[in-house]
Amino acid sequence: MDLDLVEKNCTSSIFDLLELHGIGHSGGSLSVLQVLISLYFEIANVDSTNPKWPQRDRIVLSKAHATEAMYAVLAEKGYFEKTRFGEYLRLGSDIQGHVEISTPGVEYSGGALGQGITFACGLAYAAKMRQETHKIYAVLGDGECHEGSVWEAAMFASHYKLDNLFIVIDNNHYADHGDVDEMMNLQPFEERWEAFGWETKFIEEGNKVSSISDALRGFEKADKPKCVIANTVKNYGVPMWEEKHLHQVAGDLLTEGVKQGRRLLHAR
Amino acid sequence: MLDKIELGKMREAYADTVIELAKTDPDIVFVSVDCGSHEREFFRKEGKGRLIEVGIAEANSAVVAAGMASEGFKPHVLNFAYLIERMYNQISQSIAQDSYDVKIAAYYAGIWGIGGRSHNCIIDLSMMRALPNFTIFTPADYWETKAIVKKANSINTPTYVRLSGVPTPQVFEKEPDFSPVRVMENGDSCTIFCHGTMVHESLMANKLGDLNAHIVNVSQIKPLPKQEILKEARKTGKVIVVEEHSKIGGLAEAISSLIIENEPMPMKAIGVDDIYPLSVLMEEPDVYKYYGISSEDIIKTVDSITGYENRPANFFSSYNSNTGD
Repeated sequence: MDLDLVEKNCTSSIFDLLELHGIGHSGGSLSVLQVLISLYFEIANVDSTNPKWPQRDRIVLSKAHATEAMYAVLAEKGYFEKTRFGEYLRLGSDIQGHVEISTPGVEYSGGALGQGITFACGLAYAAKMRQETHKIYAVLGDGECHEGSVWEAAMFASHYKLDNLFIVIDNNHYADHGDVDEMMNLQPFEERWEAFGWETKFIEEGNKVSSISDALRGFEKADKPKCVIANTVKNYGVPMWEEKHLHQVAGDLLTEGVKQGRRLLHAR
Repeated sequence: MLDKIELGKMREAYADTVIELAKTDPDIVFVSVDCGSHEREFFRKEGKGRLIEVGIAEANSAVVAAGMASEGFKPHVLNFAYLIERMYNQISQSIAQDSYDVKIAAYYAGIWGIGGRSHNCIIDLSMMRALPNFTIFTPADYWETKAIVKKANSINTPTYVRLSGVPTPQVFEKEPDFSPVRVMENGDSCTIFCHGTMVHESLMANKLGDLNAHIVNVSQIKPLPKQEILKEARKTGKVIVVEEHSKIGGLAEAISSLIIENEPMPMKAIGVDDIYPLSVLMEEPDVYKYYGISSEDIIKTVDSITGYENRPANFFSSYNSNTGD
């Protein structure tokens, strides 16, 4: 599979979705895209023609506002047709403003942060109880780790030795209103996850699919849940949004940014 | 029924029943938040991971349970009623929204408890009623708790069971069949809808005050059994709702909406004011009176709605409202 092409197509779909609806979470969608591509196209054992296949790996998007990235990847993977992008945010649609299980391929209906990882703990615990071998992947934001419930889940996962649970943190350094560590310092971030009993890896190139996949494949320790902290760039691929660390875009800024992003995408 | 008051613990009936159900259903797991008694011990001994202790982490308990339910397990989650507040967003987003089969039971609901204002919870029904997809039950005693826990377990969507934390008077002699609405005593002066501990209090008021009231135990608060409630209200044309709960958001508000929208008739509510209840010892005699939900309050309210004016001024000094003697 040509993952470069997948990435190009998905980035293009994100721009399509933003343009179609005139508003969206550009920042977190463009930072997390490569994480989702790694999971859905390389790492996780999933079947888009049979989304509820019992032996599938489960992928939980805890930062459920990254809808544009998620819908782009799900459509690219074949869970639904891209022609359905127009239904996103429309009244009565099952393609919602935070990802929900009504959309094929989505495992958890998120929104309020800090719960997807806990839900994933439940999935991982259930798999252990049933002696099933599928894996659970949860994708979090770094700002989300301000939530106390993330650390309740972190304790739970290591206490119960949930080595079938993998989380990837989209470490894009910015929350809605500024620098994550300036708001509430998460450092030493990697050491904190280690201290909570997780086998943890930090990767510099978090917007590179192969780096994420390599990290997810490279875990070694039995009995420990796994954490990848992926250093990413918010609004990756659209410099005029990157420099402003935007969370959401709308209006002229959206139109101009999409133009810039598409131009750079063609040049890649 | 009220000649001799026997006490029973709803909390114990809950534990016994969950154990009974779990013996034949391996998908039942118990999610503990540093909580539980012999049911916790049962699941611990069963092994195979069926006791899921999350530690003192309420938020986590609700969402772990949701995850387990999404994989086909039937998690029973037990906690203090006041801690529903601590789990509320988790219950809403992770359990209610996708209607996962999580069985929540909460004890120490109501005004009783040494814990004081932080621990005594009279707003749990207000919170839980507001959540779509939940079915809500309020057992009246030990025996009805058994029937209700079984009923809740048989439903494949989220349920909430409200339990008192202290021994409560028995109003049933044995485990009844589940019924969302049950006529406890027939009468024609007015219809008293009540739930939980207030079923006994209403029966006592009926006897002591010679009220001839129509006493109806509402065991299912949501979905509200509307037609049954209207039918029982219609029999007397006057309605009183009694509950050990805040006047805001409980059964009284549910029934008043129903009555106003369908068949307006005189109605009064007996409940706890908009306050945080204080610490109280079990031995304290006049707790219900202190909060305005005693048999005496019920008798006075019935008199006011029926227009009865011949009760002697010294009537309430002639009986002990706590024991019924």
